[in-house]
Amino acid sequence: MRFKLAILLSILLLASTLSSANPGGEGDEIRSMECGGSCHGDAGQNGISSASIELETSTDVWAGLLTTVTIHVNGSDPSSSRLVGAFLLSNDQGAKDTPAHDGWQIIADPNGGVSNYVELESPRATDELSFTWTLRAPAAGQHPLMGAVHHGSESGGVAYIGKSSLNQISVMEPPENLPRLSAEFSPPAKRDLGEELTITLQTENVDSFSVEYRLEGGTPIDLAVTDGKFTLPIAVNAGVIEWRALLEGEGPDQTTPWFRIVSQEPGWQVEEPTLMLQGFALLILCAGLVLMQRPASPEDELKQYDQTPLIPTEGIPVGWTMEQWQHFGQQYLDDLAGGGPI
Amino acid sequence: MISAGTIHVISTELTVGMFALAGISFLLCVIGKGPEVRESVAHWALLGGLLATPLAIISGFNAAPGDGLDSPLLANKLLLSMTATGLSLGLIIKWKRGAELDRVHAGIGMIATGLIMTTASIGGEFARGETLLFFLPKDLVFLFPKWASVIILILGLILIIKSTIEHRIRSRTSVP
Repeated sequence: MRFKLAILLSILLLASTLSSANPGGEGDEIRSMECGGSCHGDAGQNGISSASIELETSTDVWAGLLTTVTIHVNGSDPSSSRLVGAFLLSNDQGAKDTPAHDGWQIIADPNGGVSNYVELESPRATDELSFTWTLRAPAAGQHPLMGAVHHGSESGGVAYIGKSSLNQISVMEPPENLPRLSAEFSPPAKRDLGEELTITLQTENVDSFSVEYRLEGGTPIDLAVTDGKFTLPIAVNAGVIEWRALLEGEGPDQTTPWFRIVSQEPGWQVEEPTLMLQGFALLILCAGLVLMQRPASPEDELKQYDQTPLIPTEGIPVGWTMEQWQHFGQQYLDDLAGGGPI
Repeated sequence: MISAGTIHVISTELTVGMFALAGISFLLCVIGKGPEVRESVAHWALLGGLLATPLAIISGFNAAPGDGLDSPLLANKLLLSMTATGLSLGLIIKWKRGAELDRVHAGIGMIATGLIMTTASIGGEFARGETLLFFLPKDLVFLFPKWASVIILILGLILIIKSTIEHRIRSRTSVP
């Protein structure tokens, strides 16, 4: 029996894959570099990624206005799940290094959320990935940004980290009359499939504007603008659509960065009170069913040892049977010791 | 500041560890092996697991990304853990009432352990996309209408009240 058990345990142990990464990923979130050392099993065991990692930023970055930053990752050669996680960071210290620590505000991440760490699947054919964030720039000055990636390997044995160089971004004070999107405007980052999306553009110092959109990396197409509103076509497939506005006013003409909108399947929904009620009902029913379970027949009892209390020198109480002593003898002795009623 | 995710890891490890100990102890009771304290260990470990379960559920809600229960995996986790909690609660109350340990009692204890283990496995799939229980239809949620849940709730309450009354009558008539 023990030998068979040892064989079974050995087979189970051998069946597990030896990997220091998480092939299923960690999920998008606000994270420091290497998740503070815990993304992979042990940060000290990470290999250095051979991927080329480059950070691309807009030419003019104006304080308090929107801009985009893209991390290009080529040749990561990740694990079989093809997941590559990318960090957008403000320094390489491993702590207090998120963009928010240097005054950047994430408006949209590559997956339509507001995380500085996101995961995407690298296409097997090209092994090229681009992660684009929309950010609101901090106050004027020099603000560093860098990218880092995490991924596994085909063999699964080693987890890798790669970093881009630290890029100094010159954030400038915008001219007073610069046509711009107003500070209150926040571009939508995601929508459901089959949903038309109308956006009302809020602007400052703008006399007129036009809007164009494109499928990710495709040719721009003009959109009709009516009363400061424009409508993006319905998304029929999951993917990314990008749009930008060309703003004209007293100051120099401005073109906003390409804003990304991720189209996705509508999420799974459930009426929470109904689910909670069902959970609570199951709890009560199961407790009730167990409590109502009839006492077992003596031969079905599992006690392998005698729990009959020791019989005192004066014998068992008068009128008691031995069976009653087995069940209630200990209670009798406890009451006797405590001076309570028998 | 400790995140809800970290608290959830601690509380789930406590819950799963306690339930695993209880499950093994119940198994030892069934096969009649191991130390004599196995019955006590099984029930006390079950109680420990029960105490840690609400913390695991609440921290799990807070740690899950998105708004509320937006995944069938989370819904199944909730239903499985509530079922396991109900079974465990029943076992402990019954044991405290002096019930003898039989195969059904120990079997229910092992089922409760299995449900908690399944819940933990679904948690692994939700967080990391990996699971050993790939063959289970975890995307399928058996959701009752509200009226059915209310009937089940009433039925459960009747069973609990009935068992309590029966226990009191038995106690009064049995003790000399």
